[in-house]
Amino acid sequence: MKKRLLCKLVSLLLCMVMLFSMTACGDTKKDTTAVDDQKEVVELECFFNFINALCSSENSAWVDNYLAENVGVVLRGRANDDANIMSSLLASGDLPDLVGLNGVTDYQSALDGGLLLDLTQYKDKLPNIFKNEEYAGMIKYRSDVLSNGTGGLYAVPAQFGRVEALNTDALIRWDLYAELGYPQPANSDAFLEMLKDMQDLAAEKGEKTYAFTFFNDWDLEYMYGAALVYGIWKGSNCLVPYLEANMNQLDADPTNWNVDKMVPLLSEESLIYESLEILFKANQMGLVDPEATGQNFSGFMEKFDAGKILFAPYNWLGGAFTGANKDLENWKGYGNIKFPWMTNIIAADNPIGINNDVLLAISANCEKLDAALAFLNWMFSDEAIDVRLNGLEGWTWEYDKNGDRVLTQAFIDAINKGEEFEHPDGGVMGDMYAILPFWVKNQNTWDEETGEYYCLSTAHNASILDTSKLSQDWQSVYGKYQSLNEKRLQTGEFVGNYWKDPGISYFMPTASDEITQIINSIGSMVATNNWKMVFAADRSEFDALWEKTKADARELGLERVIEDGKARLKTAIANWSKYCK
Amino acid sequence: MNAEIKGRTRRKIKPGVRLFLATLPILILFFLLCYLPLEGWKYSFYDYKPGLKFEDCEFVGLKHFKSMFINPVMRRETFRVLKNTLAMSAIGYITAFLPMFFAIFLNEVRFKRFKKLVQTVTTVPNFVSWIIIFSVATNIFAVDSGILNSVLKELGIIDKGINILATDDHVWLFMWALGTWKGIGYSAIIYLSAISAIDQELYESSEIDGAGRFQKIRHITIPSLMPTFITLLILSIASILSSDFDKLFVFENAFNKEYIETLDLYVYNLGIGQRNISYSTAVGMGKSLIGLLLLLTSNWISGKVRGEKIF
Repeated sequence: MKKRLLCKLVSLLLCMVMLFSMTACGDTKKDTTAVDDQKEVVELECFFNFINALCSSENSAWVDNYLAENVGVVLRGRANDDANIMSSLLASGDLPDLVGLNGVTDYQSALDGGLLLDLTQYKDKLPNIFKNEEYAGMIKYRSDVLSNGTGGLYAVPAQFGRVEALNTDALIRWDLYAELGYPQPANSDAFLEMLKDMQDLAAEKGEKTYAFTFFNDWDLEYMYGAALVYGIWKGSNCLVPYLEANMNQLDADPTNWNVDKMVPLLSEESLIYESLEILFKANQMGLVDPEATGQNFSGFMEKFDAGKILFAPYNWLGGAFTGANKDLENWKGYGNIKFPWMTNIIAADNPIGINNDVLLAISANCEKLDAALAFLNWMFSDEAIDVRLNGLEGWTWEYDKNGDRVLTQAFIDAINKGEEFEHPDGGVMGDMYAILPFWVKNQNTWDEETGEYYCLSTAHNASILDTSKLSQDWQSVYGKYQSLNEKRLQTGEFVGNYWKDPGISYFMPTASDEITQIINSIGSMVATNNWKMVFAADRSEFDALWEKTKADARELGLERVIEDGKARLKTAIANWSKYCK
Repeated sequence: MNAEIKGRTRRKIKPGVRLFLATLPILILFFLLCYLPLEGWKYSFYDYKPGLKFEDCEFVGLKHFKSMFINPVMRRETFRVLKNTLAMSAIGYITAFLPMFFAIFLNEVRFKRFKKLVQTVTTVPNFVSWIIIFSVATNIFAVDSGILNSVLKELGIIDKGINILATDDHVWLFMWALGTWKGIGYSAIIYLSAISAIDQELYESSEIDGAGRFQKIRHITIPSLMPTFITLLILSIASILSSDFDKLFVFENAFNKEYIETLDLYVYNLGIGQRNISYSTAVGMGKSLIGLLLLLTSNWISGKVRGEKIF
């Protein structure tokens, strides 16, 4: 009898667990919550698809409190750089209330699917966008070209303004480089030899290092890591798939470009082929990290933070390693490097906003429209730009006795220690940007009227010269600057080449579905073969893989892709001339 | 009085209905998870664009089915992934007897604590996700810092680390070995239960006749387990074109892709990776139909050969 009772009880319990788990799948969230007795706060579902390592920050109390009190919204969902999530949302045909679309392809899919709200219907509720002269060019361009002929505005780009940042800026293990006597390799082959010497030197100290490591997360049309290297060394880029633009040979005015004479990516004349050859050679020399083969972006970052990689393509890599070692007796760390045969690409200015990066939009199915519009309007307010860049008065900044805005001492101390600055309610300074990863105005843009940076901490960092032992050594070679780019901006003196991107990619029309599918098929095959070429056992395997790549790409429709790309590039140049020149 | 009321209530519900009600939640789940998604097959006949309403998509008939064979590269890719799928399944079928023999040997262990320990240790990996196993494998097989390479280097067997996870050598066997390590203990449970159901009098009689342990295994245990083995084998034939997606997904990289990419992974890479949803649906649909055909065929053959059918 007892046993039976026990069985019944267990069954009942299991049923309850099942019911509980099933109800957990349902949406039982309230749409609104009250912050206080007077104000109602609306919950907005959002998903911001942004390729940024900072996107993991969630549930920051100070951000939630600020948005609730000042905008009347609470955001649910947040940001993630996983493109598959956006694919799934688009495939379902149901976007959350607010959406950050990553790039023009997703935008076009959402637009074609009728998933986006036409913002021109709500001009009166979006004065910060529609009544701001700064955005008039963007609205005109998007209404003319990116509205499927409706004349509407369906998304707003998140980055505007003048840019002086570099797309890529190389670092090197400066301690090892210094120990070799600051050699100046004359070309990429000599550079590999120098890296080999640095690797040997590190080995003598008991450090296992490699010159290069890669990750596969960003592989799309080719092996991203290979492109990164040739981008830095040669200043080259693909404006359209499989058609290479050698920036060193391009006029500053795109209307002078001869698109028909651009080099196909899959040819021996292309710079990516040269790059693959260099990396193949590097691998033969034992300079390529063998564990890069199955590595993702976080694994890639960790290697730099451990100082295991000698050459870094981005100047934000290896910060943890440099920070921990730059002032020790036996100092170590990364330092900015450039040789005369290298080219840096300076990111394009954004007078109409970047179309191929994050675009902010409201779902056509949004039921909490007033709140979503209020949020979007707030995003483009000076207040929003300020709080995202500078935090809150009394916490991160304050007025000094002259009435100027200055950083608080506590925040300065945190910056100087390289620590996160915590808010008493919870969360850190970087959370607002991490959760809402939109710059609206570029972070390094300065106010031309006042001569002040929008970002007080950027201005602060720019005003302080690093006096660590590593930096002192670096400054003994390049002068009292923080980077070679800063030296260029301040003195006009520079090493190697700099090429200002005119921003043609912002005007690039999307490829048709059919062409996109061919590009994806070719891209998957090319990227796979690129990896194999870098790690090929010998030259004959390298050559065989290259021939196979070319042949397969041809069979998959490479010629169509290139012809389509040329036509789109010509359209982009025409639009650039019309809206940007 | 109470007993009378209970009796009346019970009599009202027929036993068949009760059994049906008991299985109903499972049937509902099965319908929701296995049959309802079949509606998505319609996408293979359209040029589906994510976000676009289905009725606004262009009907293209069998275009996506044809393109599997018309384009030489797609044809080659289809056959490549088909070959990988069949090869990995074949290895699985050839070694399908392993859980049965593992169960038999485990059953023969006389020291109960050791038996339980082995059973627990071999069953636990089944409940560990492939993601965790991948990270463990990375630590074991890493070129520089991996345990295996470190030991081999220490012993002087190799000078340079071997990149086991990024090679196209023995991919099928490596994947099979990982799958077997993870699943053999769990798969043996059904055989252990079948062994416990064997009539003990058979063993006692054979002992009287002088049979030893191996003779008992050969003449009683194995024949008694064969119906279970055959049933499981027939059922698994339906999934000959399916593969352990999680495992292959986490272990896939540019170097082993040629051999590790099975139909399931190919469908994922095409659909989610390349957003070629209609084409990948066509490939997935073809896979399901072939699987169904194989199941019906094997069931028919079983009926002809053994006189027993599953349905």
